[in-house]
Amino acid sequence: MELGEWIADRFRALDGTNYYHLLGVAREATPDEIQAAFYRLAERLHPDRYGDVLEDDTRRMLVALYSRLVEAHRVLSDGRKRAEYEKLLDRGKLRWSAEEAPRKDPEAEIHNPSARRFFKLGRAALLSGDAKNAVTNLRFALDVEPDSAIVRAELAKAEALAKENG
Amino acid sequence: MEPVIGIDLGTTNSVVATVRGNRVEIIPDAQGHRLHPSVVAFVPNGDVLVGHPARPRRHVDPQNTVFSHKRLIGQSVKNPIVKLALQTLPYRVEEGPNEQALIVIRGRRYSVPEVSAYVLAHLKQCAEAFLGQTVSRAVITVPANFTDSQRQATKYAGELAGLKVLRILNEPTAAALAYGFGKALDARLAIYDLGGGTFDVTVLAIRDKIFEVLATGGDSFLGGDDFDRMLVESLSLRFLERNRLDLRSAPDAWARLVMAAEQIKIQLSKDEAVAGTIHELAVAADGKGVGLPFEVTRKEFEGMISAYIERSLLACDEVLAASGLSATMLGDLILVGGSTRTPLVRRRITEHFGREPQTRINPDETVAYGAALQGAALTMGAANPAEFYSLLLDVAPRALGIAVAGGYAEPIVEKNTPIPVERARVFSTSHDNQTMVIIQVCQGESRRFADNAPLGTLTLEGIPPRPRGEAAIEVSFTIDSDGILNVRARDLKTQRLTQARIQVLGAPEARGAAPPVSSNAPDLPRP
Repeated sequence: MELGEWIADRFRALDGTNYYHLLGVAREATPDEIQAAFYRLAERLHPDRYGDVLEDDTRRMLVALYSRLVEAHRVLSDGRKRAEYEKLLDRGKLRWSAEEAPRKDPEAEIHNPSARRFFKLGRAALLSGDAKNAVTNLRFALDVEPDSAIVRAELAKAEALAKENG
Repeated sequence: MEPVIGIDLGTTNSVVATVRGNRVEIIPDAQGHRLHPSVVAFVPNGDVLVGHPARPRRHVDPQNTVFSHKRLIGQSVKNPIVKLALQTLPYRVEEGPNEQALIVIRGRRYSVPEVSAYVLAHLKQCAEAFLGQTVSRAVITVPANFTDSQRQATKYAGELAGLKVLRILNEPTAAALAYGFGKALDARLAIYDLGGGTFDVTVLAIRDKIFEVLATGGDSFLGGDDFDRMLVESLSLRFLERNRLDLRSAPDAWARLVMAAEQIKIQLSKDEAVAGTIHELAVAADGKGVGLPFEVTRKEFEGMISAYIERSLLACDEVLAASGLSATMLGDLILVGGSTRTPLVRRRITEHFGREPQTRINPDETVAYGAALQGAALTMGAANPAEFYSLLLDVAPRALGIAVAGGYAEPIVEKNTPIPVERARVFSTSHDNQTMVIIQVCQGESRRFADNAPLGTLTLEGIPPRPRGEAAIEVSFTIDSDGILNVRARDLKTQRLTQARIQVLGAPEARGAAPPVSSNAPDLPRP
């Protein structure tokens, strides 16, 4: 089959394909099998493999295919996401999405490990009513990860409590 | 076949390489130097010197000699860190259109990509002289943590220099390619890349010819220049105490101090202490030159810079966590960038990762080497897979989001998402007969829009007038293999394309719209 047609065919089938089908692996596939399948398909679907030869529309379809391949690989190689995806599949959903997944711990949104540590300490202090300690630790967390909205929100609570306590 | 060059366009030095026959060659300038200073000197007679001939002009004519401009490329001059960098640069910088920096030389304004284009054109010339052939295609490397506008501006600089830029490639990924190419590895490794102005850390998995970036991160304002700055501040303080003269108000003397500091730093990588005199920093009342005798020990110097190194290690922890690996799961640890020659850097990395870093590779040349290999893979890989084929699976270094109601940011692409990537979102109108929608776009991971770095504005135009909420415009956001954002919009009711324009702050041009912004007619570097 001509390359453009092959890409267009796969692109049209995309919204009816689950991640296992897309990767061409069984639902019981091991992480190693998933990784190997991902590399094998990346070699066919990564736009770099085709240099300048593709038409714009074909290239766009290829980017959409590669994006979905990556999505499938990311979900199936993460144990927690894969388990969530299994449940979604049973409900007839073919794609995993963060909104449908159960909510994560707030700490998971803090990326820096030391910020996370200070955040945990700060929250624990806040829960036990130790506003001063909470403010100190949350400020440390914010120093390390200044753009964390969660830390900011928690710090605002701690500061409010500290004010109340005088 | 016309050769492709790989260019490591560095803050301090640049390197150019190409694949000839079956091997990578580093291309020297006419005098045989393999490292080309990223310096552009505008001399009074109108000539423009680049590279080695330009470097001494930093002493003689600092205000008309541009260096370290990579710190400004594609940046908004309103960025506080850019403002800080500007304090130590001896040449004049003004705010231009789209908040971009314009460098003012003898009353003429140059955009930063124009200055970079001089460096690139010089490298192109070196390559043409070396190869005896025209060169018109290049792969140019940038720090992995470069933003969209920094990448866009770098690509634009390449075009100004007469090069078709086949790829904007991340420096650590290029280094990994140089390291792993042709070795049929099955390994995971970390690249620690500390250059003159930027720091990157990248964790990759290599399986034979596939190089998969698992996570990347770093600090776009952390590098050897900061080490120099700490030394300069200490030396100028000594000068102030001795002579009651503040060199901060003397740009020429300051520039010489910066150059001296760089030399002291380099020597302290070999010696435990460096002593000497920096001459003629000021003129005394009696007309005699005033110099500064100094002695700096390695220990003192390490005290000045250790905070920066710790900052880089913090970024390493973050990236390692994002990659899902622990330090013990890594195969090799590779050092890239001249600043990794600093003994304290090596010592702290060894302690932090619990292993000796790989030092067999040349930290200055390895990035250009990888860029040349990628150039070969992109042009010859399909025809000669046995020799040149390699596939880089790289990631977006930052999250991309859009502003939604309530001051929140809705994520479109998460940090470390493999590229190219396409994500679609449907937008509607909030007023009856609204024909235009403006969407604020940001880079960063915070749910609060204001906590992220602004990227620019997406404008959707020509929406058919309908009652509010009834228009449905699907916007597809694509981050291409260069790490650059492109947008397309489609009216879901008519299936027709809608005009979508994205204007990125600090970037040289608005994508899909007006021609490049420049205060003077683009003065292309002479071939």
